[in-house]
Amino acid sequence: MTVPPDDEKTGLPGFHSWRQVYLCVLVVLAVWIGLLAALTRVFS
Amino acid sequence: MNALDYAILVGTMLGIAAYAIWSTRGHHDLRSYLKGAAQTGWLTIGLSVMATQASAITFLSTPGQGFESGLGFVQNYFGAPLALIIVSAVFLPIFRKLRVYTAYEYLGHRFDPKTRLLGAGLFLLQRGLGAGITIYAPAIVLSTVMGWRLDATIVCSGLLVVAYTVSGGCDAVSLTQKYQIGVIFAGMVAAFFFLLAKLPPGLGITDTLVLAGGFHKLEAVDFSLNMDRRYTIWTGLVGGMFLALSYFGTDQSQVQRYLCGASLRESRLGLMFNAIFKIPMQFFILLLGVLIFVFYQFERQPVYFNRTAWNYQVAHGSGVRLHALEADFDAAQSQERTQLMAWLGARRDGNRPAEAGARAASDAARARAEEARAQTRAVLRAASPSNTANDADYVFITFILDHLPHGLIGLLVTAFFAAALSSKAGELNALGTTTTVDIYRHLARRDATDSHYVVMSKLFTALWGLVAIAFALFANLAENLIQAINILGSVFYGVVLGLFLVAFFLKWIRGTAVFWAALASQALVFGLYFTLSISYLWYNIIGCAACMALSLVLQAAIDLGGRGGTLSAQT
Repeated sequence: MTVPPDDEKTGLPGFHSWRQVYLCVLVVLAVWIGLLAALTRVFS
Repeated sequence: MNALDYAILVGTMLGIAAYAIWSTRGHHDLRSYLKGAAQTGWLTIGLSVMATQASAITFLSTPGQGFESGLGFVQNYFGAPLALIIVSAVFLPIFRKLRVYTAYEYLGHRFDPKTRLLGAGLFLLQRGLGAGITIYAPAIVLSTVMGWRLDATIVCSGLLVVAYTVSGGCDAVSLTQKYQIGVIFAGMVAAFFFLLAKLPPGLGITDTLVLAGGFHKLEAVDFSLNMDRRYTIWTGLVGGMFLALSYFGTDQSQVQRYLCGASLRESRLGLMFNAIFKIPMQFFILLLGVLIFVFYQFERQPVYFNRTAWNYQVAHGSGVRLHALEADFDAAQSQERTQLMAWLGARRDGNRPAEAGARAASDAARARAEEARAQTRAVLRAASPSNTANDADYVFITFILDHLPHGLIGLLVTAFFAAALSSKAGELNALGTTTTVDIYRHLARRDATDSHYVVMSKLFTALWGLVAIAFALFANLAENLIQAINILGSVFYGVVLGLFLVAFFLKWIRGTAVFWAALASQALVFGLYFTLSISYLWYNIIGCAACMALSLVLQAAIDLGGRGGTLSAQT
């Protein structure tokens, strides 16, 4: 099933496709895990 | 609670409910009642998805979990962003393209009616039971706070949510959730800053973190490969992803939230909002619990936080033993406080040997206090085996009542109540919709008018509300409340997810193979649950993998049998 092209527009400045949005979410996840791992390491 | 607190509680809850009923009074056709008026923007969807997942249990029990076990539970949510991306990229476009009311309608399109009924049936079974648990949690809070009877609290809170969910349908649920989560965030942020202000003078942020870390409360990420550990980064990323994928992708209480978006873009942005903010939100709530733990190292804390259960046993025969244990606990706490103040002073002076000595002495006192607490819990459990609620669930509410000012108490009790009603409303809305669309319209009345289905949907929603209230009244709840819900979800969710993943990705598999594979997999998960002691998150993966693998095997056997039959007929 293909998605209509209009639905591929994110409407977010700097993000031209949903792939870019998903990549950004993955980067944010990696940053969160990294920060929490650092917190664990520093204060354990 | 005083008059101001009651005014905030009653005014806010009734005001939001009345506004939702008034705003959605014109929604009489089936589409707008079940899917909303298709005008919902991404922020409302995002908050609605968040509010449906974050029940009163999240805000009541999670700080208690932070208090008792630290930050480790946050790992449970590491898989959520991954799952939300998959839902946004794969599930959502197909659901919207087919214009389905429920996720299980899609199973009917893809496979056959019996597989659709199986998916809907598993949802109704596990969510119907879960609905009872979510209504039980705020009842604990309110019955403790107000001295109400637990059963009366369950009935009153249950009936309020039934009233506006039945009246306004999907849009009423989304609208109330938006305002309710605003109240929740306001309450939690205010509690956080009041708590920071109440920490002892001179105890800076770094000191607080060092102190909490010394008690192993800041171990947020565990890289251990030990399967027996409930929360590790691996259970969180893999098991958590499967749990979140099942929940966000196949649980109608969530699917209904994002299907009401004005467009695919709005629905996707609402999901991405959750993908970004879910982990920080859970971290913040757990951190609140850790800070309460630090706060109680310098303040007198009860040996047992559930004072209702404590007072009852003191008055009914266990008083001497309990008071003796309380005295031991208080003495150990007092010593610990003294040593921690000495530790803080030595730390400020840069006197390392004195700092280490005071810390060791405080740890020893802490161990004695924990021993007295463990014995107290054992005495109370032996005296009242039916009292299986976790004492950690009472930590946050005890802190609120004992240490926060009036007005803020009212706001936080309102926040718990709002959280309870918001998730309950999402569940009831989904249960009513699934029963109407997948069971009633599909099996009983296929060609009735829209208005008939709206009436039936309201009736089923009300009926599920009553079932949830009854379950909450009679359920014997086990372990920590939030874990009970996740365990319940994990036992059923894996197989349902397997159905959907087969539907999306294994195009050659047909209805009969996946139906029997799902039934066999569910039996397998039940069998393993009662025989193994692995983290419950793994059951999502086991159920899903078993369903997919068995579907492949059964389809191959069916195809082989068909070809064999054809060959036999030819020869």
